[in-house]
Amino acid sequence: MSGPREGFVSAFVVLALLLVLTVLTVVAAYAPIGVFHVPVALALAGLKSILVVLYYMHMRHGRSSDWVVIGTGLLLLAVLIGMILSDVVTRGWSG
Amino acid sequence: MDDTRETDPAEGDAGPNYLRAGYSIRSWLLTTDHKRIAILYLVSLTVMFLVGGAAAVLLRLELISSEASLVSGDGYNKLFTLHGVIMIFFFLVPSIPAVFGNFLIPMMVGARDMAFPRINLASWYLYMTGAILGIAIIVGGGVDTGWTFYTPYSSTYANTHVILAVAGVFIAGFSSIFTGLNIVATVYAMRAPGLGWGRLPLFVWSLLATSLIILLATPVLAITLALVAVERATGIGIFDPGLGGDPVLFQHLFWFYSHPAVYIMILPSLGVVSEIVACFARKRIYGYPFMAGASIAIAILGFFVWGHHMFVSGQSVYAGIVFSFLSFLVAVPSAVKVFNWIATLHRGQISFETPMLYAFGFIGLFVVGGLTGLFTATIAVNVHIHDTYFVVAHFHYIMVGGALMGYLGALHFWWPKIMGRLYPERLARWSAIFVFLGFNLTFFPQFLLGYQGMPRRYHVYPQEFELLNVFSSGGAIFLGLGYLLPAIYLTWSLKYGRAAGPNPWGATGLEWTTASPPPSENFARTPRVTEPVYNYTGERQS
Amino acid sequence: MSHGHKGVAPAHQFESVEQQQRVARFGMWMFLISETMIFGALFTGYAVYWTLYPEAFQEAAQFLDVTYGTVMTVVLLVSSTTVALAITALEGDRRRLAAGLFGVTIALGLVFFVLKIIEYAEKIGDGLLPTRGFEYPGAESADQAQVFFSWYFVITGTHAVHLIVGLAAIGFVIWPILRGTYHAKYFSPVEGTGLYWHLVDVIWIFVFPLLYLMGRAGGMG
Ligand SMILES: [Cu+2]
Repeated sequence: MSGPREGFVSAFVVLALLLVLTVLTVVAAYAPIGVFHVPVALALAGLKSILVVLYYMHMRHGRSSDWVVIGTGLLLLAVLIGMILSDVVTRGWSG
Repeated sequence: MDDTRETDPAEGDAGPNYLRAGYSIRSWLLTTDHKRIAILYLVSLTVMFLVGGAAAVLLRLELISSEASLVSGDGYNKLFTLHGVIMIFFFLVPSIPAVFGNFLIPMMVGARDMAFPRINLASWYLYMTGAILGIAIIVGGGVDTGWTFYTPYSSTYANTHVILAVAGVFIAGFSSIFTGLNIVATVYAMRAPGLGWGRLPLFVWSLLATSLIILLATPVLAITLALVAVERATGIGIFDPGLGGDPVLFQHLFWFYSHPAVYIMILPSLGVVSEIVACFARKRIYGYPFMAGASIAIAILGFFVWGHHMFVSGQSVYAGIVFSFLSFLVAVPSAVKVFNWIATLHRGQISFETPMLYAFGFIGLFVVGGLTGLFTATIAVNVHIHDTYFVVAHFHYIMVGGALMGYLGALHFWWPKIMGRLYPERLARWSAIFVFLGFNLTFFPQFLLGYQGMPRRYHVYPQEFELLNVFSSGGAIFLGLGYLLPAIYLTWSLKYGRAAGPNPWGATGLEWTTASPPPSENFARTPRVTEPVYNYTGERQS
Repeated sequence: MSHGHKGVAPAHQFESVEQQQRVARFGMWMFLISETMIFGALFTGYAVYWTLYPEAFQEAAQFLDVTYGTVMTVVLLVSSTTVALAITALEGDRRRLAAGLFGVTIALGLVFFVLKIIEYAEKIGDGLLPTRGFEYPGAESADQAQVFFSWYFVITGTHAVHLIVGLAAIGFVIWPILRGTYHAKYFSPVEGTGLYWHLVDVIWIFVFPLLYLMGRAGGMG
């Protein structure tokens, strides 16, 4: 490898963004947004994770093979959560 | 095959063969050579197979008569649990990936070793730790939950060694994860020059698909069993219906692993059969891209169908319908495989050496197991045959008729490569036939028993089921003989077998271009691949 | 094909150090995805019970302490930053700076861990340990609240175990960095350790809102 992939400054900028997003997460939790609490919390957490993955975990310059691993994992995670919850949600429905 | 003769078995310039790299116990227990680790697995898996097999013998002995004759109800529960836990988690799941994957993957891709040799060794130690816990259960008095560890029985009521058992499975799970990770990394990054994705043997593709499942499903089983242990030890409320916990959640998480685990067991065998069929039909595999794609498709689709184990569990009817429909889809890539094998055989120069007999046996039994899988995936039929011997017969056709036939086929096909010796061919053919006939005699009657309504997991049963049970137990004797014979003649061949030479079958593939047994670094120099995969020309050349 | 950097030889199974580092990274990502599935299963279970018992879970969630959760989040985010900085330093061959930054990471990780223990102790002191002797002061079903606290302890506990593993791993790479075993041209084990720590951080990024911040505005979460 030739030289650092990310600079010192960018690490601090990302930290600042992560802290701002954390504040937003807390604020959103107390805001009167009704059913949107969970989607908003998940969106903000997702955004923070993307920052960590792209900058701290260097996936901004990542190889496509590593992206395939991440993508497959997230797909299966969605299958796990989605299909189990779809059972729980539809259990009460009467046929 | 010109380059096969360059490396003489005796005088390869890559040093002595791997079996002679050291004779001390230490040189085996601290080895990082993938081939020696494969041998460690072969030996330890054989021991576990004998333990699981002994339990099966006792089960079949008990079932000869409709009354309790040999063991008590409790004893019977412990026996079938032991049989299931050992055979699934300590034999079938690791079997082909840990033995033949370890031995062959680096050789098939032209590499000197796995990508992470020390993790590979650590993986064997994890397996051994799990296996020793598994054995400790027997000494300690057994566990009676069934291999499925269903809650709340396992988490609250059972008073046997559940925590010990799930700890063993948990640890063995991480052993599989490390093996899978190593296989994918090796294939991804260490292929020899010229070995593109389209030139990988189908065995490699099938193990890639297997590893995908291992990496993504095993952690879910591990944490689920850990939750059972924690709930059992501390009395917190995870699945306990007494507190409003949901045992169906346990079943979801359990089958999220355990259905795909069936593909962990069968996919490697599908790969083995492709290698064998191409070799003994002297033909290029028909529809190579579809065969490779079907392996991956089976792995992915296999993640969408687990709910077919839960049709009568309290799962929602709607989820059941979706799971049932998706289950039928898995039949498509599976059928693609079978049709392509048949197309490969068509107009091939077929010969019936032992590995080919196992491959044929596999195809037949896999078709029966697969088609009866369609019955069990149909909700209305499932309600009738749920928890009966029909299901037992179905999954034994897949896991024993399929996975184990593939394992034995692989053992015979690559034995000359692994040990450098030929086994007695006639005897081996007879034992392959024994296995096939014994298997069918054991398990076909169980389809009939199940369809007539005999439930699984009981040590006594109504007398009308006795005749078919006697057939089944009788078949088990033949089956047991068929498994013992290879253990004897393969061991015999280690000393008395004829030297195999680099390529006794005249097979294609990089592993056959080097000496048998291979040198420690596998190849005298890094191979360069210039030919397409399965470049069989019709006539056998050696 | 062997073009080792400045006398850095790859392990015998590899052709080059570049290949070795690429494979190590790829392997680490596979492992991280496996780890993610563990937490995926835990979050799934937790979500199932939220769906089944929304009222009880909403009430029970109010007994978690937002201040602790927030402080721990900040501590962990900063610790992830110091790891990223350490990798940058190592890539520039500033090994002592890298080791120092890893030292800071360990310190922050320990702060997190101590806070976790204090938080657990408080919960246990309040009778909220979800086993025999569980004493729930809320109005909704105490059984269902016990299920909530079971998941709280299991999820944060599993996370804490991963945190300890990460701390140990960092502890093991500091000395080799100082000694020069790992340096700008070869630092795969350090990079793997860093990736692992970031995963511990990412998991917590989800734990924080999904446990500590649920149902705070009174409305359904
Ligand atoms: Cu299934």
